[in-house]
Amino acid sequence: MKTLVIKLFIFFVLVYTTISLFSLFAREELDPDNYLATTIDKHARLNSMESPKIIFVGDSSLAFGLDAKTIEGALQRPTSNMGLHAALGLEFTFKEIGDTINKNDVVFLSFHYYPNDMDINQGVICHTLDFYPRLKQRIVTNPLDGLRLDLICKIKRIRRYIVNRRASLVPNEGESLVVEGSLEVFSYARSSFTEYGDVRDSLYKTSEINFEGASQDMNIVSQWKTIREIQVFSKHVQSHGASIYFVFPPYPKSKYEYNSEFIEKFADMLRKNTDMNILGSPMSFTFSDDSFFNSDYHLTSFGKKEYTKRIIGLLKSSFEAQVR
Amino acid sequence: MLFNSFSYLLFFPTVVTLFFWLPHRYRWLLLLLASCFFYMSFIPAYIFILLCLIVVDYVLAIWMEGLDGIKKKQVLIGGIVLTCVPLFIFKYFNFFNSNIAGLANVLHWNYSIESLHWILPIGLSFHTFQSLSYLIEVYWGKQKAERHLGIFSVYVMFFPQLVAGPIERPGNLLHQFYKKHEFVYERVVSGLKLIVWGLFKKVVIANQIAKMVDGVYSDPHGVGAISLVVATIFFAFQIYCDFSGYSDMAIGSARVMGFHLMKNFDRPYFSQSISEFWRRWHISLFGWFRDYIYIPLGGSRVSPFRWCINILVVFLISGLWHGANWTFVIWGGMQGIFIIASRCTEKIRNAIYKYTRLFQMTRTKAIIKITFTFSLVCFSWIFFRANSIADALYVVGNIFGGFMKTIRSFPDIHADMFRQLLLGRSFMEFVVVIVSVALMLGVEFLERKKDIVEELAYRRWWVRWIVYYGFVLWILFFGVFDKSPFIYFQF
Repeated sequence: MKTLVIKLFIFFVLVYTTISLFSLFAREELDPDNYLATTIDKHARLNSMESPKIIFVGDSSLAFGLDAKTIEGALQRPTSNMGLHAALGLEFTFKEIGDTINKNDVVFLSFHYYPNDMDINQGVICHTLDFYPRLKQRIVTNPLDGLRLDLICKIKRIRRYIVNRRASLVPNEGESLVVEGSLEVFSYARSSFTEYGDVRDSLYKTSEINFEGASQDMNIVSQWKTIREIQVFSKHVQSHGASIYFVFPPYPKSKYEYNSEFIEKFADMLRKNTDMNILGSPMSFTFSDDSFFNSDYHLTSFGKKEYTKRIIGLLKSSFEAQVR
Repeated sequence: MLFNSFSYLLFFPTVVTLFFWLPHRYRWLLLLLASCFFYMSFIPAYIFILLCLIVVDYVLAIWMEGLDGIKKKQVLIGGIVLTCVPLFIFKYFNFFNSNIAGLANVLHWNYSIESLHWILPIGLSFHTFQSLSYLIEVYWGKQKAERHLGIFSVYVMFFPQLVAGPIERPGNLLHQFYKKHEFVYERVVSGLKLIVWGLFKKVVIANQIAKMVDGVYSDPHGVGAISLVVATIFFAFQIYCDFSGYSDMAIGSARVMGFHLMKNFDRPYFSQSISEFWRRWHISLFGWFRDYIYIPLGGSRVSPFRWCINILVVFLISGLWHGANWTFVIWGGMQGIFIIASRCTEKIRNAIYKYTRLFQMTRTKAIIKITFTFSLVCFSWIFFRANSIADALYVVGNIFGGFMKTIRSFPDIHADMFRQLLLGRSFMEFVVVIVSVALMLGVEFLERKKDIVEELAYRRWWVRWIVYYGFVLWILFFGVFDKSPFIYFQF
């Protein structure tokens, strides 16, 4: 057994050294205007806000769907929209804000339907960490985890260099979207975000999106894990004396009708297995298909106003009393 | 816990180290605890269903052993029913319920039983079949009822094969838990090599292809005929590498600890007929169907008509075993029809071989037969992979209709053809998949004569190390280590 262990150890060192050397060679220059670089600004805002504050945690459905400034005005509390990218996964999304929560803060969760480990793209995580390396301290919980992440990021860098150098890690990057009232073109970039962490206003539907197609079945086993992850985060938030709410993501009406069985099943799992305050129902956050501009969770400016209005409306009844 | 996960990378060496460190008399306990831990990493509460199944089968087998005649048969039937209850509730209830509801709607009946929103316990079909195998073998008197509840529990729950097989017979596996397994360097290394080979199939081929195929089959209406053809062929390799990769990792993991699990795949895509394909694909399941359904029904020693019925029954059940959906039933039925058609056309085909002198050209004949068999298998995979029958029919229609259209308009659309061929991935990713599949097929082709891995063991140390080093780097650089579950876990 000793011989085997020694041989495996030598082999591991050899492979690790090779990967480290290759990854130095495969390093690419970082674009400061990259969509993922927005994480720097989002964290700068989050770290500078005084408690009690409001934090929206989630994916791009929040980045494109929320008007944090309007919410801040309506609820009179500093508000930050941390939503960025579904491929970061729930674990990363939760860990990155984990230790910034203080007493009396309010955390809102919102993400696309049936999030699971399959959404996670380690390449996106590594690229985000390239922009904001300080996040590693929050993400990595033990040395083994650190070694694993380091190895994964090095491998991802090499792989990207060999097979997919020109591809973007952000879906739709480079897509042209006409901005209202000008000939300006919207792009998936850091400069397209406001100081609140929202994608700036004036996005209008520019092409037809086909919301029909195969029913999006959910992998119920992975959902069980998702629910557990959410519940752990909910407990974490509450242990800091903060409160936590769940808001359903914006969703096209036609697609909801198509997938209502699974969506309601997911909502039911959330209600039964977590102790968060859940605002409304999936149905109450459906919008006409025209309210989405390039995907089924990305709202146009009109949709964004409507979504924010509905959230504020629901908050008035369940949250306002607590705020005052 | 997936075999290709970081958790397994920590779990497995820990279990192996403890296994060889512990005295023999405690090893079953370690394996039982490890198996419970492994299973509970999916949905912890479901361990109770599994434990109930174990206790029921344990008690019934001992009871049955002391009985004779009709009483023994009654206990067996009771055991089979009780063992199958969780499978029916979790896997088939909604399927039958929705079909009855559909029928009731047509016939204007009042039927309002709600569907169950329960999560299917992982690998339920596998350990149900393994338990049934034990009960039937005890009934037939081929296997003595196991008195040691702990050992019997490990037989049902042995973690390498708990969630996706191979479905072991008690005669092969049970006695191995009593045997003392020493640390044998060569055997352990051979097991590790098999795990790495399985990992290659899963993360480099299956996971990479999954990204391509999923995009096409999630919305087949949005892609062209070439993409449909390529995605269907790729799916054939995806499902093979996914499942046989899992089996290799399961067999390799067991081998490291000294246990011998049966071979589950034997180079199926080199089969020259559909019946040969089913002798080489998921061997443990189809051996199960052969021994416990096909042969008791009379097998091939019946009239031709009855034989056709037997074949259809076996394959329709096999389809339903794979999933509670009509697409799987149709897929199973197609396999049965292919085998029946193959038997019916045997004389005609032999006449053609004779007329065209293909009998003399063994290699050409073999290539033609392999290609034809592979095409039939790919055709049936369409129904297996499609989300609905309507989608499957659309794919079939467009493959045949659209492909001819594409060929006719070739000069105008060759650029688009290339884009369709890549299934939305980069050229290099496509090349990586092709090279990896070619490597796997090449190794399998050479393995019909000799075991390549064993052959490698006789080479000089630096040759071996270069091969291992290159292979591991290939897996790390080109593998997709996301958390894609194994396809067969859902069955």
